[in-house]
Amino acid sequence: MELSLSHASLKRDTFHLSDISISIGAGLTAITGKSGSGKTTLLSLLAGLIRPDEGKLSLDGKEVEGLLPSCGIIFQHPERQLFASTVIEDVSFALRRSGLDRDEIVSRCEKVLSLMDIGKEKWNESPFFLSGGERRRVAAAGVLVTEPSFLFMDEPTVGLDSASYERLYGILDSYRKESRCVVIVTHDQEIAGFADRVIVLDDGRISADCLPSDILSSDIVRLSEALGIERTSDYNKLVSGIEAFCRGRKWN
Amino acid sequence: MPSIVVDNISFSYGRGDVLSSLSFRAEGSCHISILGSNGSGKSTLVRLIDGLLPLRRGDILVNGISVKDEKSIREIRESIAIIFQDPDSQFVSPVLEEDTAFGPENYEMENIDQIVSRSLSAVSLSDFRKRVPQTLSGGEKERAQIAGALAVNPDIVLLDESFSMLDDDGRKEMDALVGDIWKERLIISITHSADQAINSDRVILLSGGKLIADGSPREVLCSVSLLRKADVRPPFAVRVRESLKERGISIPPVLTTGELKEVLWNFR
Ligand SMILES: Nc1ncnc2c1ncn2[C@@H]1O[C@H](COP(=O)(O)OP(=O)(O)OP(=O)(O)O)[C@@H](O)[C@H]1O
Ligand SMILES: [Mg+2]
Repeated sequence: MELSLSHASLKRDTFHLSDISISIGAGLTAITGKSGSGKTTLLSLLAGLIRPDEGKLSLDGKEVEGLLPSCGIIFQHPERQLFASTVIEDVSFALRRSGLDRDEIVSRCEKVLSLMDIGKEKWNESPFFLSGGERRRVAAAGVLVTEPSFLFMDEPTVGLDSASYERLYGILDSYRKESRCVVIVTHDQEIAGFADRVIVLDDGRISADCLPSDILSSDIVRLSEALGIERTSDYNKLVSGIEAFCRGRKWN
Repeated sequence: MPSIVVDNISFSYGRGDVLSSLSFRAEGSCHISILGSNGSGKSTLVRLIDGLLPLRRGDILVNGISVKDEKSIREIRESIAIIFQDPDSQFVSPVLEEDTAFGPENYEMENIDQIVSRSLSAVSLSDFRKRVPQTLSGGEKERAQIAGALAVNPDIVLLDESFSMLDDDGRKEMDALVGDIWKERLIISITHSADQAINSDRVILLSGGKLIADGSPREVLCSVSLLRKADVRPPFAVRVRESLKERGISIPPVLTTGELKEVLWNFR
């Protein structure tokens, strides 16, 4: 499974992407960069949501026309994706169009809503009667329920409480283990540090494409550097590093 | 002196109570952060303070005036500015200077042109007066929101996850700007980031519509059990300390990453 964008360029009034070529395979890829650097546009190009002015998108060597197949997109303001009159209708929308049988649809929706910790009492409520974070979780549920092979998320950590944040880690990890392709746009250095690969955009160009620990300057990376232990962007590795650091020394 | 008194309020949208028996008071120039899980009632509280939702049980006094007093609601709104999370949905005009003028015009203030110039200049957007707000970058849009708020010269500023779309540097820049231009005012900011709340004067935790903690950042944000109850990710340094504890390594309490570094350097 290899998704490639080759020599893609796109020009709009206020910004541009110039000559972008990247291939993305299974695993977790994070796109970061300053606001206005074109991250969301790049995500939309990869999903086939918009077409480049020049260049092309291809999947395993074949050009993709239109939306990428088996692809799920969770937008930056996912609450704007909500439209149905109840939570359950919203979440089941894509499946109802897929022709799956009713029982299967219901069980998949129940599973994903429980996973996102949206209480049963809210399933028949309007999604607009939810808090900001709850709406984001419902919108995410509506995408995850389709179990896409390609999952694109734009700033998925914003507005999430602690439990939802940990859950996001779990989802990213299970998608990675199932060899799906996940691309996130994020300014959250910690979640970017969890990715297999980080692509940095700067003013419409790719300025770096590397391992997270090579580029990020999160608290995690900075602390590992300051202590002189192995440089890492992964929280668990940091803690193991500090543990070894402390055990090898005496407190004074 | 700006003040907010929340006096034993409860609120329901129809199902159960979303806020219950909530009380706190805040006075003078002070920056309060409110944290709590999704659905714990934070945005509801903001809407109640601004009189956007009808309060029936308990009372909220803004600068001494009750939000239940319909005749004075305009006076209350004039003293409060709110900045929400998503700037795009808050612009009301296709030209930045008109957008900034919206509040002052609405409140029939005088010297609007001067107010707009001063507000835009305070957030370094003077050169962007004629721009379409939607074409600004993320950080510039947030500045534009701040300019709009500044233009109505509020005593009280409510920030509901305002800068959460920005990266760390951008967010810190906005926090600094807000702290600077409204240092004499009462600021209440809602956030999911404990690391962001470290710099405020006071931290309140909500859980299931109840207040479960109200104290200094050090008192509240170092308490892993309180934070867990409110479903708040502890600050980075507090998390690391907790993870080390689970592995049998004890270090003294720390709040900031700087403190953590210093403590760890004591292992030689
Ligand atoms: N307009 C509404 N009608 C009915 N219920 C609502 C409405 N708005 C919010 N609620 C419910 O009230 C509760 C509190 O919502 P509120 O938006 O105040 O939470 P919050 O603390 O701001 O959460 P978040 O962190 O997700 O923004 C939630 O259970 C939510 O589902
Ligand atoms: Mg909210």
